[in-house]
Amino acid sequence: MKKMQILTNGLVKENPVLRLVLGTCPTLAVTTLAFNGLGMGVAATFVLVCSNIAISALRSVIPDKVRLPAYITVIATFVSIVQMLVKAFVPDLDKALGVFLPLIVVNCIILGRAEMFASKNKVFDSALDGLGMGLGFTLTLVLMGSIREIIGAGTWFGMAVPGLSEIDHFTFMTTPAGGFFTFGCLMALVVFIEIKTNNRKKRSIGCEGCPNAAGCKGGCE
Amino acid sequence: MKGKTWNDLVKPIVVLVVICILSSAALAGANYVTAPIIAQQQAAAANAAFLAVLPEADNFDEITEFETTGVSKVLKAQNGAGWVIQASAKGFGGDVPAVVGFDAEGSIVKVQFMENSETAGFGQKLVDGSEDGMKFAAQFEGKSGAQKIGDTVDAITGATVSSKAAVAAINSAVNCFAEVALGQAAVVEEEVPELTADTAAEYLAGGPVEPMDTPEGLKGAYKNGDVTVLAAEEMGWEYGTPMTVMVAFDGTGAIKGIWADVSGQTPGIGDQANGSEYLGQYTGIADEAGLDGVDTIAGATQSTIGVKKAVRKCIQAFAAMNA
Repeated sequence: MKKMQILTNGLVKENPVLRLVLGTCPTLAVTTLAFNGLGMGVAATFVLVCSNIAISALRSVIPDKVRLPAYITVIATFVSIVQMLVKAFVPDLDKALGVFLPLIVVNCIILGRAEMFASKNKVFDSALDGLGMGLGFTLTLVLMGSIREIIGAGTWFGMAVPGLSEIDHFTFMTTPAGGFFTFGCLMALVVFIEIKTNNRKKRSIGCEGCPNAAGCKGGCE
Repeated sequence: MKGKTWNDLVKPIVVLVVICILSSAALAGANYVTAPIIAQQQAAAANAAFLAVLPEADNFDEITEFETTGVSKVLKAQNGAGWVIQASAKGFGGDVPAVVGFDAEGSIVKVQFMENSETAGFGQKLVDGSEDGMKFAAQFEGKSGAQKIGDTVDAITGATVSSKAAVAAINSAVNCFAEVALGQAAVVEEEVPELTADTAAEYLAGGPVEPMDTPEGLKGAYKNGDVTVLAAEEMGWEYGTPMTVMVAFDGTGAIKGIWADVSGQTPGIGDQANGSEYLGQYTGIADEAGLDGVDTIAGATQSTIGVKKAVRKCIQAFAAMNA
């Protein structure tokens, strides 16, 4: 794959949240405010890039048997470092994200990309993939967060939206139910774009349709 | 085979150990850099609450020598602007903590309530920024001395227990101010031990008791020197369990102490029937006529009437015993 393609892959075509459906938990929980979505996205991107680089660099050293413990240790280290940095320099974000910041460790995107890409590709490619996926994640979070915040609270990044702040808000959008609703709408929108640009891939249910199929080789059976 | 053993057993272990060592080094490094900054942030956040109640202060010295019960923190402003005292009292669901700012003379500058677990919409109004809560806190500004609901301040409607606890916390702070700033004696409330039916008789009599023959209609009778303790049972709250009430009579036949088992009454409401405010009324009463002057507690009528009935039974039995 060309280098640029690796980077743009994660933005729309294989968007981790809307197409691969990974990392939905923080997506739903954190997007009540656009700022929180941006903060979570940046933190996750940092971890993704660092862990992809580290795991790709070690890919020939880590034996197959212990690859999961090794990946998790590396990812957890980077997440802890990010947590310490956020606590020290952006404590407001730490309070807003709460428990979801350390939960980046089990964010499926990171472990998924480590398994599917970093363990099989060169360091620079893995870094680009991490960056692309992270950017796709961040963009999706900011988009979802903006929609929910503007409709649900009448503000955007904390600033009042002119004309919207006086009327009653649709606070349903800031509840978890509203999060699911927004998520569903965005997924439908992306599928619509795919159909219109004739990129619709046939997806089946079960192991063949799972994005991790190449990685676990049907190992669940 | 040496090659196989290396690959299957040793290599995985070595790789994992090396990865863990490198991770630990990275984490230790990050911690070393960020820990002082984080500590500074947390100190600033804590200080923010104290500066909110005493805006004219700059920095605080913490005073650790104080004895007033209910107080958890005493801070003196370095520039002489006053004192900040943090105290708490037991409310409906737990502790109700309050931070009180005093000026140098002892007038309350501002009051702020901290996180508590009172009922949402009622006691929580103290901390959730609602208008009722803000109005309640604002009442204390400028006042000095002990506060009393209904007298110097009003409670939050529907949140009497929480409001009383809030006032109790503020009064603890006021007492502590008197202790540390004005040099008065500390108000130390003795911890009343959790009494049960077995230990109450001993506590009321002031020493070990011997059981006596139980008069008809009573649950028990005990003696210690010239103190007699009689126990009667009466229903309090109609949906609760029967209360055991123990009445201690001194040598002259006057009531010297009462304990009521309110475990079957409504928490926060009926258990006032075992509170010092209510039971204090009985001290010194020597005959049934004296009971007419005892007021029951509004809102806890059934429980407090139940106690009154039980005390009446004990007085009658005592009179019969000594007739």
